[in-house]
Amino acid sequence: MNPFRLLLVPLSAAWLMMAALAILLAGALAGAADGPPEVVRALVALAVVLGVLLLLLCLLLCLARAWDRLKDRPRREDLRGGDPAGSADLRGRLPRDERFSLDRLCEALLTRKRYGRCGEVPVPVTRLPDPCIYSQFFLMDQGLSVTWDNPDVSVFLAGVEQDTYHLQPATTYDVVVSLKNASPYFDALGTQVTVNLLTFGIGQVTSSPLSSTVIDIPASTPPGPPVPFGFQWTSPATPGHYCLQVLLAHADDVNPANNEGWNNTNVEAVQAGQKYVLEFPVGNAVAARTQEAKRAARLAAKADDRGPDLQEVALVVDSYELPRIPAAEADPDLLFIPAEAAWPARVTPSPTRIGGGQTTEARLEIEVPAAAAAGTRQRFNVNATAGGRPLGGITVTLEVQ
Amino acid sequence: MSKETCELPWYQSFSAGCALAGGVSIGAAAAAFGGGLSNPATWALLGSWGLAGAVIGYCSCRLAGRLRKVLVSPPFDAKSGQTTVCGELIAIGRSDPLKPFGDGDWLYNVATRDRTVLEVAFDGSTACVRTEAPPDFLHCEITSAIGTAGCIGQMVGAVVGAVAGSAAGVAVGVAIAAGCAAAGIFWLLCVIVAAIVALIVAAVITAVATEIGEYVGKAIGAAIDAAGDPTDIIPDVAEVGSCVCLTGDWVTDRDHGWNEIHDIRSAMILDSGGRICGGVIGAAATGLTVPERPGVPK
Repeated sequence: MNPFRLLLVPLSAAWLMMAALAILLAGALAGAADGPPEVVRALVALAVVLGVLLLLLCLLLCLARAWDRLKDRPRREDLRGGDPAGSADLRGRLPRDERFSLDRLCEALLTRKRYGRCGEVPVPVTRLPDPCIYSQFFLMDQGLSVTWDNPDVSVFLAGVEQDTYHLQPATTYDVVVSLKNASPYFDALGTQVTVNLLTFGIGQVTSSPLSSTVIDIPASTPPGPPVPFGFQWTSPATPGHYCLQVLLAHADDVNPANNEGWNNTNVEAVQAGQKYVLEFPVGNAVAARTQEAKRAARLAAKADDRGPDLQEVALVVDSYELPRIPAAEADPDLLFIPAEAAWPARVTPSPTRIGGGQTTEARLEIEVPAAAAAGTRQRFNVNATAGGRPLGGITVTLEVQ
Repeated sequence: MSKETCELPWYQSFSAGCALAGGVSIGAAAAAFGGGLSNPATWALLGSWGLAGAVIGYCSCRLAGRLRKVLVSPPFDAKSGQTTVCGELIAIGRSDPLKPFGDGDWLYNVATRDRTVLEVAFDGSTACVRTEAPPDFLHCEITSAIGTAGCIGQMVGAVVGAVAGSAAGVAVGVAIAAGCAAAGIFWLLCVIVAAIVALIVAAVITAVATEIGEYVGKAIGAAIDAAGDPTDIIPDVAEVGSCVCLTGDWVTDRDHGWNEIHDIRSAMILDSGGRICGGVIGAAATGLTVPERPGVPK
């Protein structure tokens, strides 16, 4: 016997008995000299109606559950068109004992366990696509080291990969963006991909669109190669330095925080013993694009300790380099090992105050050791935060001649 | 960061005020039909409808909005009022649906990177630190229909119970009062006893019906939870120690005075493999690794 029904039936009966009791009492009172007040009679009638409605509801509920048990309904994957490739145990109908049942419902209702070790997350919450790209912003939020030489973004000229700093004006490049889906369950069908051009620097507010498309990215089970999105782009006629910004969007994205990636690199030839200097603009997109900047400013007038100061921009330089290891072999413990600046380097001013819409010129100085051998390459990342939140960054690679 | 900047939890007090207002207004209105203070029927009506009014007042205020959506989320990027938080799952559970007013919500508490205290603002901007008990974590929930259905059931049960309770209370009170003529000099005392008995009988029946209504509502809520596509009920086993990214509505819980994610709209769950969650999550979420996941072959 299903315990849920054991619960439902007596409860329904109790309601009906209560209604019947009310009727009997009303009847008894009706025999009295004055009879019951009109309002009591009306309320008794209401009780009867409610009791009957409740019983009907319970019956409908039981019928609906029974119908669900009998009828094979299409799986969610079928409805979505996504296919959890390779996960045979997730395909088709599940064994009966793993499907929905009233027993499980009752168990959930009656279980008094609190703060147990294991839990079940409702599937619509977890089994969603997760289009993603190497996202410096997401990684910085996790406290991890990043490079702005995005492994998922490449710019080619006649088949030779270029850095985005030294792009030639009015030249046609091939841009390739590698798109991935971190979900093992569903294909990310209809992912919107947008590639923008930002000015070289950090925290740029303005961007200009380069290309956009809608693309399907298969689930990561089994692991497969990233889906490339390639397009040709002719650089502006005005000479300048640029950053590529990739944005992904999907309506059912399980994790929308990993959808923005930048490729913001510069490769320079230097001499041993030289002092390399790079000046670049730093804006404050965090402060500019969030309402909280206004709130923070308002609250700062009241109390100094009321939240992160989003206008305080910090610039840090390091020499972290992302190991290029195939995803199937990569060890997360080894991917993000921080690395201090390989050569004496400093970035100024830091910290500094930059308001939304303002820009400051920052200066990166690197002293190339006199003993540096020709052919030596070192990478320097400048990472910026505003009030502790990721703002952007650049990666400079120096090659000793 | 100062805890003193937190706004005090107030919604329970607000709901209690609603209960008081509902009880007094509806109880007094019903008692007006009772024929005067010396009539036990007045007290029966007051006992039953006063209680029903209190329940209706309390529940309606609960339903009106214990959670306030916060559109801006300082610690994280927000999209459409939603926030993503990643970290180690340090507690999983479900609020007790059998407890009175228990809502049956599923809860997942997440310790963020370095297990540091989140600088989570109560009003969406300040740096009030949200702590429930050490260790510090962010409270995230998935709403169960049990809470809402239970609340509605309570209100329906209270009305039904008030009908039955007032009828029973009036009957008992009138019966006792009828015999008071024989009480002689204790007539007044007898009438008072009749009134008290009428009130108690009416209130008890109303209370019992309210509880029955609550649990009927909760049973229906449990069915609603599981209704829909049966395949939605496939469990993902998330264990304490798993690495998760939870995305959902960033709200203020005015009962407790903290911000939380409620509802969780999507979740990424990874086996930590004994590693620190930051690296596991970062690598998996940017496609640098293919992580272990519950029930999915690598």
